[in-house]
Amino acid sequence: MADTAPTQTLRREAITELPPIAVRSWNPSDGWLAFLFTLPTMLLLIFVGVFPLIWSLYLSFTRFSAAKPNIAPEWVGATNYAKVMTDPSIWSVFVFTAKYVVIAVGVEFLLGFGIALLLNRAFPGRGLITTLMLLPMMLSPALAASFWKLIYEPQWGVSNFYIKKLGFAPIDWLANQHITIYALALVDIWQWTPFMLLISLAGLSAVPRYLYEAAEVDQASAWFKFRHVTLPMVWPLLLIALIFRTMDAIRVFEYPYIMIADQQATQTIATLLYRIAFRSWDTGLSTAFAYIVLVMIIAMTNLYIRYLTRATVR
Amino acid sequence: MTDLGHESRGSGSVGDALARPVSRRSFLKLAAAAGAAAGVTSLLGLTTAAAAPARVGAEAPRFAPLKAGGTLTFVWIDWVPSRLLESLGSEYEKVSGWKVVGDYVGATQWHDKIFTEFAAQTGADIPIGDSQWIGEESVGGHIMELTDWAAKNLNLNDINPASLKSYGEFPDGSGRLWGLPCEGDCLTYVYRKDLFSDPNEQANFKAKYGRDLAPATTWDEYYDIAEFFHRPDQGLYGSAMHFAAAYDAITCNFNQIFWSNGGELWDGHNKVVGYLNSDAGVAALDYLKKLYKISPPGSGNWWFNEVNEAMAQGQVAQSINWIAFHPGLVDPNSSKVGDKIGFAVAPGTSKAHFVCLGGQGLQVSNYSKNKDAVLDFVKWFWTEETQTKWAKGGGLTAHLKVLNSPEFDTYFPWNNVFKQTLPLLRDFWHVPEYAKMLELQEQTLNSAVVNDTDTKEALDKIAQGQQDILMAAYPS
Amino acid sequence: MYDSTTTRVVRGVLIGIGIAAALIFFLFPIYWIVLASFKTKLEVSSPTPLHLFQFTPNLDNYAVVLGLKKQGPMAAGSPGDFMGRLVNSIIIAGASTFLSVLFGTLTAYAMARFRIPGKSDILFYILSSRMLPPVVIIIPIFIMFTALGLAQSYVGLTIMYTVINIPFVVWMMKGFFDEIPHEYEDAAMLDGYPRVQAFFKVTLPNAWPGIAATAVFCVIVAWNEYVFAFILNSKAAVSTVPTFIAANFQGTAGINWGPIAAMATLFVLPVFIFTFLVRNHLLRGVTFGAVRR
Repeated sequence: MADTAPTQTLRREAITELPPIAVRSWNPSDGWLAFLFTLPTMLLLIFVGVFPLIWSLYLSFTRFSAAKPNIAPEWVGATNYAKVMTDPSIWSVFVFTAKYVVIAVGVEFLLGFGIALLLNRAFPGRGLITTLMLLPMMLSPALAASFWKLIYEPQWGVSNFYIKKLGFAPIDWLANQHITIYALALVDIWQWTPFMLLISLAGLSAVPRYLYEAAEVDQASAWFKFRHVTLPMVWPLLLIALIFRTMDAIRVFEYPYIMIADQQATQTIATLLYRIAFRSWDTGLSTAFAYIVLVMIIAMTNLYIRYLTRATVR
Repeated sequence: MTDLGHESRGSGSVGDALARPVSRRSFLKLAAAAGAAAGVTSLLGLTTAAAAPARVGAEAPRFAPLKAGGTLTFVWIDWVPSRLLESLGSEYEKVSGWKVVGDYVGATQWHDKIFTEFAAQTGADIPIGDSQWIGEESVGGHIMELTDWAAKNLNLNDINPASLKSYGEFPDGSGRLWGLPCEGDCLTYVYRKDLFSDPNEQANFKAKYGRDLAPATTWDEYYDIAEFFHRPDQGLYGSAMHFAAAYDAITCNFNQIFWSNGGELWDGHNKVVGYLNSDAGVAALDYLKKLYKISPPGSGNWWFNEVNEAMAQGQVAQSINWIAFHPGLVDPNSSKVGDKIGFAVAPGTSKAHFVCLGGQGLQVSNYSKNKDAVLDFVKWFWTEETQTKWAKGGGLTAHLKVLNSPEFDTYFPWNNVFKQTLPLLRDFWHVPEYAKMLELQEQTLNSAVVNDTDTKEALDKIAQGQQDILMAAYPS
Repeated sequence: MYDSTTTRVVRGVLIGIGIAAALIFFLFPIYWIVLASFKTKLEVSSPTPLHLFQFTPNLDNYAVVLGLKKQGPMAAGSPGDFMGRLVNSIIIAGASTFLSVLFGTLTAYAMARFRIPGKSDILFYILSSRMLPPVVIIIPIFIMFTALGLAQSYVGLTIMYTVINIPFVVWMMKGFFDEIPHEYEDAAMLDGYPRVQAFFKVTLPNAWPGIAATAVFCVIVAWNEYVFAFILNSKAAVSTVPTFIAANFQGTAGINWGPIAAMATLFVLPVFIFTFLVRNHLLRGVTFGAVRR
């Protein structure tokens, strides 16, 4: 803890170039510790992952329906993949999902971090207020979707009651296919901004106080402190949170499925995948589609990770 | 400060032994070994399962004497009929010693659960599903063929033939039976008795339309009444109908209007072009678009729950909905207008009169370990005595004697309507490809109605798409 | 000491307004759901929304959910098994959170501190297990778990949730460990502490915000997870609350708003309490002494 740290020689120097993180002390017994620490994780992931991986990858090259397991899979090579790439309606699904992700995750990020900054100070009831703000995330997405559908309902929903009171025509949030994307994104934002808030707060809490104090001694402005102390330390964590939130947003399922099931213009990747896998039971096509989506997500996270490595290696 | 980057040797022989830095190659070898071990374990487990006894073939089982004791499960949505089935099951238990228990599932996950369990060759003994699922269930080898057994053990003459065909026959017209009717259902016409019997309304209506205000018998009448009661500023609308793109919401309404206009969905084999996108199709879709414009806001996303809600809150004068949800309309705990609801047969046209069939049939799972007991239960379920109890409890039977008994009408206010609708009932495709065809039709119809796009174009798209699907599966 | 009082007061007020606005936005739907749990079905979907003092609250929904009162035959389902499912949820979510935080943190520490060959590949593999939508692997997982006897048990679902949560823990905790200067442990090890003890004495105390945050999130994910729970643990004895809520959702009269709202309220409480209990770990301001890098 703080008191046992042997280094009391704190020199208040200006923030200079920091040595690269790659240099670490290496204790050889660490080799086995490293192996041991990583082992349970890897075992679990491989154990659960191997069979589904082989099963689904193999089937993506076949024509097969899991609803008719008595008919053996028929090898068709890359036909399923070709079908996915050339189907025009699938392209619109990708576009819709991409728009959704950009809107939802973008707002969540800004809002979550912004509120975290507001909460990053001592005030009475801080713990309680923070926990309260995390409530939306604690609700199951399916329940959130159902109740928001109730809130959105033009004829008996709270939202439209007040909209009508203000003199406007009721907003058909879900059936009007131009507004649907915003209606869905709003639910996502409501539920997952607390996630960004949570991670941002934890990250902000981990910024050492002495850095702020050092900056204040140098009469730094609030903006300077934010730009040069807070942001660099919190940014890597925000980026990780962003990666996970983006991956989850791309796979959003409950909101469209429960609120606007099957509407033509507002299908997301996950609802389409679900329909191919569990309505048409076209297992070959659904697995091929899933792998194409996987490749896209891998490409995107690679970009994120590159930013991340650049942010951490200062 | 610590001198970073030095490797200090640990003390002790064990420490020394472990002190060699791990090279990349040996680390990877270790990791690969561990991974392979994990992978092999999981695959081994699977091969043992695969070597397990193969599925029972499709031969008809012999009806053997019962061994008492054990549990039969059925899988269904959690609602009145399924609870009723379970309580009937407790009576069966007294007779046979077998418990009958429900494996309940949410409505939206119902199909998924049944088929996912089929994929793993497990699941409930008695799957209960929509009539359209028969095709994929039988082609996939998941359910037992009942033709011979039913001929020997049931009095098939007692079962309403149309119901038997819809819930059990596959392929259509083959005479082969794969299931039996369990719970009947159909779309019916619900209206506000108080509004219709109000003298002011009657006078105004007669003045405007030249005929009496009465429950609609044709779709044109339905539209006129809807227009008449279209009073948004008073919070009243004329009609609530399913327009959503979910599952079969808008399709069922479209289909019955389409059939009543003389249309045929397909040629029964693999042609749809020229059938669906005929004049009857145009008439039906145009009608829906017209009706949508005077339906309450939000209708574009409405299915049975919302239509019920609108009716129960007293916001609409007429609606079309499944009988399954009528109990809620007359229950004062869930309906503001419980005592003002009237039921009638869904409208048709002067050309023809067809109503969309709903309801579920029960099948016998091929993976069941208790087939004899299941069949015995089914036989008991189909006795007149049990079917009477079924009807009394709220189930919609297909047993002719129970249906035609004078008491049947007294059990529930919609029973008579159900009986009258029976000869008019019609179902759509049973083939395994129905899901893809339905999806296309649902989405396109919903989009055409809500976005007011070109009717002929939408119908052509559906017809061509469905034909492509069928041609791919049945080329000749 | 650098800002005038006015600036500080204005800033305080603005911050207060910001926090209040955020609270209203996040809490209004929650308030709506909790309110609905005290309403009758007609009151829930009343065209005129009924706020706090505009209706007579009743405990019927809770009574039904807890099995203290039978619903009429027209309202379907018989909740009442709720508490049993809640216990299952607590066990499975608790165990899987504990395991995923434990294994994930260890792995993250190794990734942050040790030289591991192929580290970035391993990290990416770990991340990639979060990338596939669950629908694709549902069927093979079900087949596999049924064959291995892991279906319909606590163990199988716990394993599943642990696997789902580990990637997040690993990446998040690695991020936190990267921020904690390794010089602390080096200093402790120079004083003769073995690595493991150095970890407990020096690193762990600084890692609490990260651990608390990831634990909260893991609990939430496992708590609300539906797809795998639905397929793997469908038998009543081992099923969790989300499947229960879904099964009781649709009634004959329409959606069972009242009981569902009651279940939602009851179901959120344990998670809320857990988060509240760890809030101090979540929010600690770190004021430890300095190591200049």
